[in-house]
Amino acid sequence: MSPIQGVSESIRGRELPLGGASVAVESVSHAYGAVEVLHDLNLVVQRGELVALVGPSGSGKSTLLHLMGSLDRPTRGQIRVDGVNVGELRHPAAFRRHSVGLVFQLHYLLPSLTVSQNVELPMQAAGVPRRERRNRARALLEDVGLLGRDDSLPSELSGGERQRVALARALANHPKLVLADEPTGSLDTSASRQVWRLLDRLCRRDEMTVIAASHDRDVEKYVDRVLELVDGRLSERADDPAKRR
Amino acid sequence: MTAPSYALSNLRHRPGRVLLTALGTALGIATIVALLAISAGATQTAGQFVHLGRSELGLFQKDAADPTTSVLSQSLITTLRRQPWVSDAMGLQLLVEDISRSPSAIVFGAEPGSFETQRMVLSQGRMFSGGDQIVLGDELAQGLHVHVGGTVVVAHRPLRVVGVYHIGVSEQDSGAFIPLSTAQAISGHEDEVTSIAVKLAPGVRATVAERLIEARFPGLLVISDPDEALRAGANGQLISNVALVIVVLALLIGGISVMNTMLLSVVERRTEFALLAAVGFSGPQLAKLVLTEGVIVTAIGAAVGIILGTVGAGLLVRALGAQAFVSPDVTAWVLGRALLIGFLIGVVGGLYPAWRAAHVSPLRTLAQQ
Repeated sequence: MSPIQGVSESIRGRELPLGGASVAVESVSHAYGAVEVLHDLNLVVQRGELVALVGPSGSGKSTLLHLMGSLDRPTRGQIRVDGVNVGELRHPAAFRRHSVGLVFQLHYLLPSLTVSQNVELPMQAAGVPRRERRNRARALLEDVGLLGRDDSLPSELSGGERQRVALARALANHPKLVLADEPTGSLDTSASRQVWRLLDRLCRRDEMTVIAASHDRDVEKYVDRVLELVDGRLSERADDPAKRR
Repeated sequence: MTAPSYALSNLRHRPGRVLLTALGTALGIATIVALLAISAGATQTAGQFVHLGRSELGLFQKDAADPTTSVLSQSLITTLRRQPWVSDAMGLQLLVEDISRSPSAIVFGAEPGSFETQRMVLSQGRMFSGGDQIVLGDELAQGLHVHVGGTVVVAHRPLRVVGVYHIGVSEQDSGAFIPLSTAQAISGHEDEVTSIAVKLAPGVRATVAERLIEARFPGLLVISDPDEALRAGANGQLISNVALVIVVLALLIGGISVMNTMLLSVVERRTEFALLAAVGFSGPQLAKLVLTEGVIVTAIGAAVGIILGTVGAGLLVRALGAQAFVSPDVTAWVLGRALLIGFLIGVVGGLYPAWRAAHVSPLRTLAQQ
């Protein structure tokens, strides 16, 4: 079993906020049929940490995020989010609704709904009253720099703007944990930079734990820690003080 | 955004498909409304037959295919009049399709002094007194453009019009009355009548009299409730049963049509449902969204179908030349049933697609993108 990849109480000299969720990956392996894609992973992510998962395509980054977000169950081992084993949840949708914000490489905005309505979707699932949903969606759109575009349709936005709406949607229910799977994978450099800055700023402000899979070379500028996943095995990259924020 | 407003947003995004599905439902609902309205109208008409002359009971031959084919002995009238619980009884001979210029008009053969002919309000002329005379309902007189003194041919027999009446019952005002003996001669049923209308003595309950008559005359069918009047004819029963079968078929076909459309929609929108599941929508919440869409589509269809059915019922009756027999009766109950069926089509048709939507795997579906 590989050692648990933990972190100290302060990361890169920054005191971690009290909010967010702690994530513990304990001896997790996962297979699709006969093919094992994650091998005996161990990892601890502390509350309020912003962690990047890097690695080549097919290394298991997305799979690990899916397991953390209760979209799938590990073949072996367990993942605990704030002590809760997410692989044994009876109602994983409720867990995702209240505790997790998901951002995907593709924005997956619903084309028939306005920007504001898209942001409101997780709140609708959580039964948030209409007025509060509107107000919160408006505030989130302001946070991501899209105030005034509430009634636009996704087709009227640029790729970067759509991904910012998707980020606002992920933050709608004040999740403790944000899981972002290649959130800038389909964006140009400038738009990518905007999304990373937003993710960094909003998650730190709202004290959320963020784990983001990325191919982006610049990701180290925005995160506390970079973990590399190669062939289903984790390793922590050596610190490069020059890349610290 | 509530489930209905979310559903409406999605439906607005696919207007062509929504309209086609709604149209399919509308045709089903229109058929149901038309059939129910005609069936209700037929029941009402039959009820008016039974209560001819404001009688309490209508007697028919049991197992007759149709009320007009019932044959009863005229001597039964005398027997009935002797019963202490009977105030009066009169025989009626019905002639159908015997006025060639107005085939839908019914000719009633009745005795001149019977309680039915006595309640006629003659607007022109007088009551018949001879065998070759006829009095016309005002609607028939108007339709035939015939006045007192004119002639109407009934089964190749020319009869002189001596009066025009108004009773206030559609099939009688669009029909005619002739002496019972003349009607019997035309039909070839001497000493026989089609039905007997019975007025009960004061204080006698219709249900009690019904039991007494059925016990004493087993071959008779006694109708006391207008809603039961369709029992008087096997054909009426048949129409009623056929209407029920068509309603069930419409429900099935409509349900399958909605199911097909909704299923296609769910398959096309798997990514959408996967995203919703990923952001925290539970299975029942997703199912509710799909069911709401199905119900909205069928509600649109039901609204259009009710209008089409109401108009269509009248057109159908006219096309069949049956307006003298049946006047479609679009009651609140008919509309309520149509709406209920529309709602059921939406729910039944949406169940399987809703189940599919509720079981979309967010992981597998989003990974495929």
